[in-house]
Amino acid sequence: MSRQGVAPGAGEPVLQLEGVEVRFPSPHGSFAVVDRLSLSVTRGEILGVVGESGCGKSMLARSIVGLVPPPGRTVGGAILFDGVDLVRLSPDERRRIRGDAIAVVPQEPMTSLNPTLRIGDQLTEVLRAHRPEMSRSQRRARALEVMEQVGIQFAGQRLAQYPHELSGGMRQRVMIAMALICGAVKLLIADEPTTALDVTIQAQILELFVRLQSEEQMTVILITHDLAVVAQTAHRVAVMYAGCIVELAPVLDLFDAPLHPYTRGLLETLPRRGASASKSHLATIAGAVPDLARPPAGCRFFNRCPHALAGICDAALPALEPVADERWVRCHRWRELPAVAAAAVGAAS
Amino acid sequence: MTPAAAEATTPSTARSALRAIRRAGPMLLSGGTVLALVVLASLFVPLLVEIDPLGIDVAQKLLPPSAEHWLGTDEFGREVLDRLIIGAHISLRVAFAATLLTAVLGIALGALSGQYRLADSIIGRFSDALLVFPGFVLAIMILAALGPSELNVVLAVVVLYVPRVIRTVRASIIEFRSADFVQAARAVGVGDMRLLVVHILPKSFGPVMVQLTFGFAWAILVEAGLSFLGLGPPPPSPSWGNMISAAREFIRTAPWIMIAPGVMITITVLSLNLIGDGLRDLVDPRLQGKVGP
Repeated sequence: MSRQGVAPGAGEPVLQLEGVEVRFPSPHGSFAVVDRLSLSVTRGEILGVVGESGCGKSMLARSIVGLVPPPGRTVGGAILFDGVDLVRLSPDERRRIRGDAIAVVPQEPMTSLNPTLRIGDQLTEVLRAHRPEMSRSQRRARALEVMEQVGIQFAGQRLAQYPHELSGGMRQRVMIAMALICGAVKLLIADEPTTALDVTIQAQILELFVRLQSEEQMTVILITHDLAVVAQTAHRVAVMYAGCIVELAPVLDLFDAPLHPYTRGLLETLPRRGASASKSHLATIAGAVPDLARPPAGCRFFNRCPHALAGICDAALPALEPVADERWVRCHRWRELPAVAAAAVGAAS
Repeated sequence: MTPAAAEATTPSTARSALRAIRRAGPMLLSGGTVLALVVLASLFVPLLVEIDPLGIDVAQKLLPPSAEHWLGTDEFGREVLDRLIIGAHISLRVAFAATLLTAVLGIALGALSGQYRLADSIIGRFSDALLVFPGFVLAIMILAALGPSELNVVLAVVVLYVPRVIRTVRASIIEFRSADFVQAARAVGVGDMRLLVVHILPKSFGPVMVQLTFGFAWAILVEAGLSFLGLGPPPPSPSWGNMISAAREFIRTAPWIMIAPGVMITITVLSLNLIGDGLRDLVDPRLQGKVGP
């Protein structure tokens, strides 16, 4: 099982996950929300992680920063960040990395700021935690600098304002500023950073991520359920399903030729301009994620897959196998599927 | 740039806040005024007028209220008004000390039990055990064991009231420790201690203030009750409870000796309860009628 998901990758890896397993106890036995997941994130890339709710993408992010909510726990595997295994670090050592070398931008800008503290206090709190040697005025100067960088106007006034005085987009910029304020971030993990925002603001925030990524030479893991977000920003995409990566590919390849049936399903759910009038409903993927307390022996997508073959697909969990340069897929039938799909399209038209 | 402060306060929350203030305002104002009068009178009258709560003058005993003796005199000829004013010192001092100690202990222990599982089970069992007993009976037991004194009354009130504060603090810590803004602060490396002190604990101050106001009123009642039973600050200290206790014999012949401290206890406790109700409505309108012993 080990290292199967490690993509060759062009550059050196900044983060390597090897067999990471996050489990939650339950009355029916513990279940793995992230199941022996291996992945290598290359320095300087934007990696999109997509999947529907409950596929484990947020838990993957939390596992990397060491904040899996109890009673969940990262029970196995290694998370190598610049060669250091984060899983083995003490809680305080992990705290020192959080917000400094690895930063997180949360999903909900509306509730992720303390409503009773001024913006300035919350921004500089990060410096208090990581740069205790800085003076008050240095912290303030740095806060102003980073606010400019993320496109917050009237930064001086904003410092004295409370969160409720700022719009959602502005608050998300503040959250991004908090992530960058130490100035040493190598890996930025954005967990659904635009889900709570409307589309215009979403576009601005994504643009900001792309700009910051090149300015700061940082690596970004962008977690989202929205393929459109990934298409706009990511270099590479990992598609997750039920705790596993089912497909890993450069973004254009993925959109051009999705290999895994789940990826195809996701792409088909995107509303398309000029879709035929007969398809008045938006496409969906029928069914739901299997019960992870009793994971099926075979492919986890078996019960929802239009191409599933009994006897093959439900017999064993397919491995994540290399398909082409930088392309990986976890499907027993990926070789046959393009033809099958083409036939289906032909039959439909 | 997106317009800031667009959703600063939505009309509905503004309106409900206004409604809460309108309802709580009169309660806070009337309760606060009465309490302020009692406290100010007990503090400043002794500075302005010569007061002699212990001066025995047997010739002047059991005189009814008159222009000379506003509230009459007691069985030793002592001025009831003078004793009432000094009695306020004792009653309020005991209640204040008890409330302060309750606040400090309650917040500290509540924070501990909200934060650590082991502390929670130990502290939780202890407070459950204390809450099982009817409060006043336990107070009598404590005083009977420790002996009557002002300090022991304070201790009894603290022991009885601290579990309620612990529970309040613990509940709000548990509520807010998983709040998004706490998670977000944790995710940028803010330490546990600062999370607790800066982000989580302040959220409990509203409910705790409400609780302490009721606790203050309750402490006055407990002090009076214990004194009445002879378990409070020993005579001749003129605490309100002591005064009522001593006046029992004269309830038929000289009822004013008992009525005066009784009225003081009533209006002080009532004003504190009004303040508590008002604060509660401001802090959380959903809690109406649910806090207090």
